Amino acid sequence: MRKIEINLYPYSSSQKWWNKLFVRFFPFVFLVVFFAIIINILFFILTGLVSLSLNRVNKEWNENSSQIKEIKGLKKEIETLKIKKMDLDTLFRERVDLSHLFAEIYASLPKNIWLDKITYTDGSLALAGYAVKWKKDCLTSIDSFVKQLKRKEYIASLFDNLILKDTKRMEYRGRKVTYFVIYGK
Amino acid sequence: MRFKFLDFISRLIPYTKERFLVIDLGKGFIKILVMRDSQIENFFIEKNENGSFKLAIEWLKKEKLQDVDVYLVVKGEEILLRYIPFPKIEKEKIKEVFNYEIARFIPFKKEEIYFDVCILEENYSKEEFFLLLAVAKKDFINSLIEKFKKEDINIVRIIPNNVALINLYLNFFLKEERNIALVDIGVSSTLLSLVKGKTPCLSREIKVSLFDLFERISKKENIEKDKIIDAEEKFKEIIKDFGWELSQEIKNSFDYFEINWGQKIEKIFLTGGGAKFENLFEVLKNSLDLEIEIMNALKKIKYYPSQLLNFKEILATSIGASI
Repeated sequence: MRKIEINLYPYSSSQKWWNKLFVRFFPFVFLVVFFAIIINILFFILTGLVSLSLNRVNKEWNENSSQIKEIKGLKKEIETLKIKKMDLDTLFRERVDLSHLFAEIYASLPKNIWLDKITYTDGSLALAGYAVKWKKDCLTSIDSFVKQLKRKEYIASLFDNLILKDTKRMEYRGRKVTYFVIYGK
Repeated sequence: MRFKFLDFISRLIPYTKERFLVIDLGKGFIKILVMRDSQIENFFIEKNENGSFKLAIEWLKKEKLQDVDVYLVVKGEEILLRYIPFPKIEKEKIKEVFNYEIARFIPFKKEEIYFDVCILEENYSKEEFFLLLAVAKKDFINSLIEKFKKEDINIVRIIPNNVALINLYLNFFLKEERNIALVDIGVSSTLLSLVKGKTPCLSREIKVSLFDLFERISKKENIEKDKIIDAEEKFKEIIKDFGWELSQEIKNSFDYFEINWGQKIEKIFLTGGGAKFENLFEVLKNSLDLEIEIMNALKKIKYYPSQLLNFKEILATSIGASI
């Protein structure tokens, strides 16, 4: 683009440079300031709303703080009671007379049954053993063993329910035996 | 609505191009174009009669355009353009130096004129620039400035019509470097500029104008100026005589060009109110025996109100001044 620059206007522009700048940039500056004020007002309103709800929450907190304290106290008490219960349980468990228990188990044991493993944990008893056929069938011998155990006074006081939990036929040193687990709690 | 809203937003952004007005106080019409970014946003065109200037000012006030910078397009005997070779000096000092030398180039006293210079060709010769010197009588310019100042209108540029026309050609119509003539047939005078390649080298104002044509027609028949164009065929002979007279004046300049530059003019670009007359176009074409093209100045304008198409022949100088 080629332009012939001729200007016969004899004076330099009547507008001062700062005036021109002002006229040129005023709308932009005005726009920026206007938006800044709008954003400021929005934030102000937002802050006001947030502080209002915060005050409401604080007020409710103060009103309910006594109840909250009570709940906290109760929770602490529950914790203490739980600890006490655990202690008592331990004490109770310690009071089980194992020799008496074993004596009654021994007294109930038929001749064709022998025990492989006795487990007593947290108040529950597991008796694992083998039964061999002698005069009576294995399962009949195991059943009569359970019944005998239930009849024993001391065992009945310790365990509410004794059940035959598992049986399995197998060979033991060339002889057919029945493996069993009796469980009581 | 959408345009207005976008326009409003764009005015709030500082880097958008500024608006300015081009005012052309022609003898036939007063033309005002509201320009921004090579677009014509609005316009005012009114026949130049008693009170038309006042109407134009009222329109500017109504449209709230008084504060917008104004480019004023001028022509007349008080304006003079000279194409001169000048010894090479520092470009920044050329106007200062010219201040001392100007009396050599003009028929007026130095104190009576305002002037401006523009380098057209830096390598005109080894030791010379080729310059365009524009001179205007102080009284004429001051009276115009005073006229607008009274109405609080801020003129920032005063551009001779011929310069506007040349700028229009160089920017919108120059496709290949040819020797062309720009002919603007107006009501008060006919402007002629010759361009060699892409360098203008002669500008003159020919006294033969549409005013003469209207006078001749009105002597024969009492008819309104506006209606002459519709009854063109009726006045064919008068137009033919007028065209012949005008073509002789143009031919004189072509001869001057041929003698001085050793080349011929190849094409004519026609504009102004005279370009509307088909018979005048034919007469000029036949008598000068050259290709003639009517300049549609709106051709390269991105956006303009569609009503402006009715005035496309008379807008060349106004649009040229906006470049």
